Amino acid sequence: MQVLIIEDDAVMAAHVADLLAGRDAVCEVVGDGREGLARAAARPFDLIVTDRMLPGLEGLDVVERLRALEVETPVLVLSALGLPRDKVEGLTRGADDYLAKPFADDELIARVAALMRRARKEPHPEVMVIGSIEIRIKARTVHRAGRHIALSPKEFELLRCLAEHAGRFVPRSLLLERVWNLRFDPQTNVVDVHVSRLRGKLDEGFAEPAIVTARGEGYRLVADPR
Amino acid sequence: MSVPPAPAPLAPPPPAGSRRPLRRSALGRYAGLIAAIFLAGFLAVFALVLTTVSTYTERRIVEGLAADLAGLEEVWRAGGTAALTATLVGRPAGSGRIHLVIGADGERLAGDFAAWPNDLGTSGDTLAFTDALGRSWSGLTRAVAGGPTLLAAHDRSEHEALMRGLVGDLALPIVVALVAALAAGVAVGRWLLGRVERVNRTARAVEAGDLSARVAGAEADDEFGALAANFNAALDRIAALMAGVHRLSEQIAHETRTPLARLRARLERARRDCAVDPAAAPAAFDAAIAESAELIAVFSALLDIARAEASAGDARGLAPVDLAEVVATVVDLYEAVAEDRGINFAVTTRPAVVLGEAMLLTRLVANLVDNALKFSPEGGRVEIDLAVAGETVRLCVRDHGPGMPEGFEAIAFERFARASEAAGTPGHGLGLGLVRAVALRHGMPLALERAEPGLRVALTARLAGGTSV
Repeated sequence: MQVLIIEDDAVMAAHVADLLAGRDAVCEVVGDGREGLARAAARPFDLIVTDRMLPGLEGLDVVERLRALEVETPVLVLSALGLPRDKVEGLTRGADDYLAKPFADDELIARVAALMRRARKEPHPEVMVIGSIEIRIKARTVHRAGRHIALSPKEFELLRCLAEHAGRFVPRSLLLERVWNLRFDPQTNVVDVHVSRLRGKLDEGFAEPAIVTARGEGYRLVADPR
Repeated sequence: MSVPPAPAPLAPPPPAGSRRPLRRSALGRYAGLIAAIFLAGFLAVFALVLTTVSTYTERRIVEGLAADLAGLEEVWRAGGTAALTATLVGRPAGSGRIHLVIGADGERLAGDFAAWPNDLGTSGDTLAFTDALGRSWSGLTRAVAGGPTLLAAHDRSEHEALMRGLVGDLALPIVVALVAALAAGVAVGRWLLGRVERVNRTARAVEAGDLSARVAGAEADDEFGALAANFNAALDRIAALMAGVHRLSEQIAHETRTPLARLRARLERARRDCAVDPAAAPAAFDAAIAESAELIAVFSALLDIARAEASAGDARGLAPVDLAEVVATVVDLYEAVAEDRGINFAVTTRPAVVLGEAMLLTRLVANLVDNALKFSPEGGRVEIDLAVAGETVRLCVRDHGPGMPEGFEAIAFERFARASEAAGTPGHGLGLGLVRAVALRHGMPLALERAEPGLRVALTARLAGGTSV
């Protein structure tokens, strides 16, 4: 995977490059918006990770010009400007995802993975199978080891989102965004309660837990043997 | 060796004060303008009077001459040239009128002139001419059919004296009025600028650092009083904001010390623990990361509050939002938590579309519900009530908890405010601060009411477009 990182803070750039290298990415780092634009336009990358407040050219201007040049490389904006309005601006101006600094490493990885999957344009499968769990999207039914599990609509959406990232960490913020369309963290960990209910239904009568809490900030759906 | 000229010392900036050259001051310009307008007006009146008088007298002269010539023609018709000559000779000298009669061939038959003036036609013509003595005359000719041509002229000196006298009589009042206008302009200008100068003086004092300076005369019931009052109100607002910023920065410094100290302690302990047992590293670091996440959450909440407050009253970014949908989303999000704690939601809503930022309003409602749940006893009830009366929307969130301690109303919405009874409940004391900021951003009044038992928070809004949906 070829990744262009446009980031003027060397420590942050190295950190992101490091994280992505763990996912078999080859990273190219530039510290200037104009140069970033030139490189991104010159040859195809699989992903662009850009800061916003950059020397030369603002990150979102880079994105906008790339889109004007019909470069459709997925762009993840990584910025200290993290208010909901900033995120909305980023997304409307052509970025594919927007993560505020400071961020949890796992969240960056999860979002990059989601972007990559979307970029591959995998058709949404009608049936998702994760280990012993079988999810029928259209029928909105879930079976584990052949046994039907009744879920509420939100629980179904939660499971579907976890299943799309099966085996990987999914941060709470991503779940809030996808399932409830909320771009803020409520004070109480409401997501925990929803997940623990889902977990209760999924795991009832099974020895192996299907959903594990990862590092207190998110969850992972694990594939267990059938 | 030539020495480059020393750079001219920077001229001190012109004082923004009251003493300026008259032509550059608004005072000088206004006084000059008023005087110029007066002068123009007077000159116009003056010119009008002179032309009117002059036209009138000129017409009288010509009418007199015409009557005279008609009379002479009658005399000629009755008695011929001899009678005409006798009449003219019989006229008393010094009457201010002279005549000339010429025959068909241009020869002089009678009269006071030696010759026919040049450039003078022979019938119905008027002319002005000056005789050898320098006196000026107005003349009129008349050709008698089959007879002589007549010329009568009138001495203009009387008319000219009248006009000169008129000019003399009008000049003095004009000069006096002009001087009065100038004086009035200067006086009014000085008074106006004096009032303006009070505001300027205050602005300079504020600029120099005296934020408590205020404009005197704000109580006057006129535009300058309003200017002073508005200026003072703006200064009051700035002073209040400054005090708020000051208090906030102190609070932030104070409130972030604790999590920072804990973060540091965690890291120190992680180092110690790892030295003893490397396997303890992940747990120790996770604890430190969780601590930093807490700190980040505090800062994000502060930033959100600041952003919401800063955009207060800004109509951009506002779109129709159905509060009933907002409540539904929040209830959906919190229902599981409530059920786990045996708390019942009693929700009554009806569609109520208001102008707002959907995400911010969702946060507001989420924080209110969060707060209500936090303070509800196990097995309690949280009531969420969305009602519409006329144009007014009222959203109430009520719990049956311990309510507010005495005196908490005043500080409930302050950042970091937490009742001492709440020390055991999680939270950083920014939840209601954000609620207040979001309400402020939307211009929606917010009220805290004792519900006995419990607390009711009421948000009042106006229906978008003024129509119920």
